[in-house]
Amino acid sequence: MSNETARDAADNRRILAGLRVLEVGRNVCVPYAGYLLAALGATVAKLVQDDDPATLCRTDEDSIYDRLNGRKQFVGAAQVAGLAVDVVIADSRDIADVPASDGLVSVLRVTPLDGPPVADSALLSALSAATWSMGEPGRAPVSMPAQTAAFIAGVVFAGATLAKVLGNEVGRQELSGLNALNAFVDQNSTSYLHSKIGWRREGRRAAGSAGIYPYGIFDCSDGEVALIGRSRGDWTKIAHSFGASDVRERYPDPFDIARHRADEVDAALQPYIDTLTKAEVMAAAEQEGVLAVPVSTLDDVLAFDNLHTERFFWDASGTFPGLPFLVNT
Amino acid sequence: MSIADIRVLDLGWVWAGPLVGAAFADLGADVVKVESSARLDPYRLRGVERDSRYTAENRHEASPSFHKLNRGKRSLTIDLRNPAGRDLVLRLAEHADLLIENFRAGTLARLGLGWPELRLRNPALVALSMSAGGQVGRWRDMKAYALVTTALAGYESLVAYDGEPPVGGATFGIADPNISSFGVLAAMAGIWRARRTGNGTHIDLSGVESVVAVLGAALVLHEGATLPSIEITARCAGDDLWLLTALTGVDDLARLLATIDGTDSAHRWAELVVSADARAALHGDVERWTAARDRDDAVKLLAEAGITVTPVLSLEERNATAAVRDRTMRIVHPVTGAEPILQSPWGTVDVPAPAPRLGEHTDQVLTEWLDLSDAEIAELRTTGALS
Repeated sequence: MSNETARDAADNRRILAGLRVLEVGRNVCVPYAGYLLAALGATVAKLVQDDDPATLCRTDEDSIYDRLNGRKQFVGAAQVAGLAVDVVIADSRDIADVPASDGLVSVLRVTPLDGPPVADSALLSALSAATWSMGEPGRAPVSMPAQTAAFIAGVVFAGATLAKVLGNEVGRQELSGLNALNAFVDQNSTSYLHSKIGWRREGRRAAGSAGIYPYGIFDCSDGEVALIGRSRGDWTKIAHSFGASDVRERYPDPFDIARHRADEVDAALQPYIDTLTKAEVMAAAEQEGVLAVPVSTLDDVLAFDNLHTERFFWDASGTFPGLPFLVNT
Repeated sequence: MSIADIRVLDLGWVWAGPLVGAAFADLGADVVKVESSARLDPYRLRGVERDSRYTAENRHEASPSFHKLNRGKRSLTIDLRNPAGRDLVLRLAEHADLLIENFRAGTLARLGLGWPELRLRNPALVALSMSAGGQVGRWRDMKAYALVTTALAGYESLVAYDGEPPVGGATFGIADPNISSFGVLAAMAGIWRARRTGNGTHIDLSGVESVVAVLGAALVLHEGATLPSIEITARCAGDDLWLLTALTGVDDLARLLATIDGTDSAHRWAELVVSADARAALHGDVERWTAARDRDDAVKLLAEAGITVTPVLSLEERNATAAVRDRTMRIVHPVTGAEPILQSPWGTVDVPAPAPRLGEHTDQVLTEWLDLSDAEIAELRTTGALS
């Protein structure tokens, strides 16, 4: 990308230039919402309170706290009174804690929790049943990865904040981070409940949910790959890609496999994939037009050169993600 | 101006695109779903493909997933491959604030409905394109479903037991709803700007990047930052019942050890944040205490000690919580009857109308938005544009 093009991309992204936000956020949800609004060009002033070092993740100089708040203006309580803002975003557990303002006020309250904010993400995952859905049958459920639930809630909160601004809604509003996770779970579990399939830990696959086989993660010789089929034709291509046409002939109906024979067919298919590398799986899949991708590690993700653009891995570290969209004005 | 004044042309299908439209509909916007009987939204059949309660005539009106993602919208059928249909979309775009689409990259452009054509008709339009890999770059031609997106983005590799290969989250897919959340944010921002400046925007949203974006904390930890908390999921008495506790430092650890009578043990915070073996040893001690106790009793005791703790709720338990129960609307669909639908996390101004039947509002929308006469609509039908 040329310098000129890079600058254009950065300027175009600032579509919220002129929006003034006061952030009273100690948790991850609201600071991430503020981060996103700032990335879009809003002026975000962050109220720093005396006990702020106790906030989540401020454990060392290279922390999540610093990444989330690097593009904000820090203000003390004494400066807030004179600050002209359009909207206040907060994660105070007591709405009355939010500074009085003539501006619009939206308050994020993560209900119904009452503990220190540091753990909110894992608790959101546990309370929404997301955790319960992940892991191996008979073993402990697995939580969503570090702070992912809180980041997800932050994206929703940023959008909800703009909805309040667009709607000219004045007054204190409460939104819950848990509602965001509950909505994710609701959408995922709907067809399971309708089809009376248990929406719970199935290890690496979603046998019934997708309605068709395969839909899951498989081992290969140097890692894992995700394989997905959406039709009888896909199943034929997948089996053929890996030289497993005999498996396809023995099990012709991918709907039936998903519901009744997933374990059996996993065991039959796996030996054909075990011997291949991720690259070989990808090459075979590409040749047949099969939906398969490697299960990337974070090292793999950081090595994707197409993500190292002015609009994505954009901060000085080159490793903290920005906005996942390009803005063409 | 309020959200109710916003007009949305929703060309989305399957999950991610329609969810953005549903968020706007819940907030009171006028959302018109543009769909085609020639190429049905696959989610019209989601979960009911083999449901014997429905016939070939009404099966496409029966999917609960479709109903959730399209509540509060009106349905207009247009064949986008028909030249008159294409022209109709451009005319509708002249009256819209937001156009949503999540076809494969380049599809709308090939149909003559790309950003240049849309902007020419309506300079204030916000067009939201959502695809797996964005409209430009290496992944632009990628076809993807949820697990493909999250696997490529690194999320699946992180859903794992400590020190084991990934187990992944196949039954709980974050890809589509997460892309939608970024879509709502980007669309709201674009509309805010359009109202101030009169200038529209094309948002080119990438599904893979949307997933990587919410892995920011994981990426920082991957670089070597210290674990901010230690989470323990421990089995309790009974069948498959668990609690989750999260410790944030030495004080939490001391309180936990005092509660489980483990004050003589050698657990040290500094070691726990760097050593999986140390965490496994602590987990063992905690589970020896929880395994003999009723889950809710154990949660109560730990909470009383000042420790952050929660039961790991099953789906049935979650559905019974006030956070879900009190926010569940019952919307009556003419084909399937009353259905529970959770309110949008972005807010809901009223109980929305049920998801539309295919083409239910074609005439109504063409009359309201374009002021077409019955004769003009009949003429369009003869061309096949409204199928």
